[in-house]
Amino acid sequence: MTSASSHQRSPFLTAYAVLVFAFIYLPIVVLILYSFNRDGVGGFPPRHFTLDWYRQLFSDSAIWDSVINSLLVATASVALSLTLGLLAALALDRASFPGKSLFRRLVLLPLILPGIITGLSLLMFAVFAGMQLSLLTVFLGHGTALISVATTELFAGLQKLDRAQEEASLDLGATPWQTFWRVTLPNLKLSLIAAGLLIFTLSMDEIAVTFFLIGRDNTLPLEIWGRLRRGITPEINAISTLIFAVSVALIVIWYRLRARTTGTQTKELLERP
Amino acid sequence: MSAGAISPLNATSGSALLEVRCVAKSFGATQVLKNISLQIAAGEFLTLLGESGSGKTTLLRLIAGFEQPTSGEIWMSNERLDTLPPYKRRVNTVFQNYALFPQLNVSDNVAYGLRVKSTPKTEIAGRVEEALRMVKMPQFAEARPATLSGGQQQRIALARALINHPQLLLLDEPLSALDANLRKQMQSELKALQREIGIAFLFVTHDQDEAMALSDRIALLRNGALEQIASPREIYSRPATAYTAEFIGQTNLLRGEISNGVVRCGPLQWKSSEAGGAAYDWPLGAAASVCILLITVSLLFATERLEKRWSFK
Repeated sequence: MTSASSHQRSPFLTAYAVLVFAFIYLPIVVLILYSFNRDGVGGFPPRHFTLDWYRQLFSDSAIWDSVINSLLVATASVALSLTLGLLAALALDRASFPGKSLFRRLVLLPLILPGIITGLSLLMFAVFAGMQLSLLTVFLGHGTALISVATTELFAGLQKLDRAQEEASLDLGATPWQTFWRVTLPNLKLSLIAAGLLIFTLSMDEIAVTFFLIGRDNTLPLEIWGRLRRGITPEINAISTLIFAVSVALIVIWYRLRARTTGTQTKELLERP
Repeated sequence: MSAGAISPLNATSGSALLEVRCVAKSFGATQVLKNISLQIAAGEFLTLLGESGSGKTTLLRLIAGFEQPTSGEIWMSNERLDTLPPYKRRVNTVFQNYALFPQLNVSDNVAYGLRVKSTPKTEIAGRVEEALRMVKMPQFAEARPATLSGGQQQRIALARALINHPQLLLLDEPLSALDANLRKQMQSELKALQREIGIAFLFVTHDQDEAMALSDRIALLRNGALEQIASPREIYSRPATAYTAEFIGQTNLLRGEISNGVVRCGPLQWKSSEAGGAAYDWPLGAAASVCILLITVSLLFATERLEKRWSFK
């Protein structure tokens, strides 16, 4: 900030910055404003403040069913992909086995593959296995597709881990199993939370894979998508505003956690005026 | 190697606490340790001295169990050690960068070795207190390791390693991260502690002054081989090789050569049988150049001795 005040500010640069931020955030601002507009999405400019759309939203059981479905799928996907991802990351970090580099690439494949391919192949697999399409297939789809995210994040965490601490634990008489629970996992806490939040978010707004695997019960994005085909309603604005608020809250929580565990650097970045 | 003949302790095997038998270690094609044999007696302070890359830390890690020897055996109190996993060995280690557990406070760090063996809570509390008192840190029981200075972390690492009452403590360059003043102070405290509790210390360092100040015996390693193992006084005054003399004493070395049983060094010359004294195996008749050592324990002492043993002409 000191460097900015010591230099002359270019008006063009300021205007440019304003435009960029407007381009990114104006649609979100409009969305939020209209969720409070009595005249719905039609009237411009918004004139009368109302919470009617939120009231309507909270009494709309279909939306809340889909929110609960999404939360269920996301939570279960986090658990599944973190467990399998941790095992894969441990294998990549510690074990040496034939075909390791192939394994590394295969694990990362779902990250690169288009969602359509992943979704379609999982659908064919589900059909082949004789599974009814339901939230279970959606969960399996998310869980397996997001293992790659968990693996990359946790592998990075394992690489940063101080191996001497694990050796110290073994040296003091702890078995490898005790060492894993008492030293390795606590050291990976940050990576686990980071991967968990990321997977949760990705699962919550996943459409492509979900679209192929969904049964009768909708997830939130598919519910919104389905309603949009009948036209935009202020209720959609209201739920989107809530999603936005939750996302911001999650980001703030994440930064706070990070600042506490890694020192002041991130915190300064966040709290600088 | 003549080293074996020099050390009296090396010859006796009955009293050995730990015995390293012909141990070699390779990482891929690189041979890090070549046929190392040595013994540590109970209560002894043995220092592994050597430059970086001499294999001293590798030998320590073999004894701790973090690496497996490529060949050879390690025995402790008549029990084979190298086949056991690290957590079943009755040795404990003080790591170079302490490796304290950052998520635990000081007393939990120290208690770790007891907790993992499900020691009764009441016993743990007493022994943690005792260990912290031993390293003069009882007032820091609740502190986090990150809030402590290097020297304080060092003491906690010591307490944590000693709480299991090992018979042998391994110390991997434990003082190298400290500044010079603190180092001197910790050296004397470490020595006093070792005398007090009476367990064997295997101490790794690259600092010959530290080795001289602390050790009962010094094992000098060079490129993965044992150059000499002897007491500080002996290794200083009777170095087995020119390398030892140079590494330990940083003393004056003069180039000379042997021919026809006469050592010549510039204008100086004397019979090699006289010069060799008791300690050295001169390669008699060889044309190889040798190093001549002027030992300056004290100038008077050295001059006397030189005059007595070697007649200058």
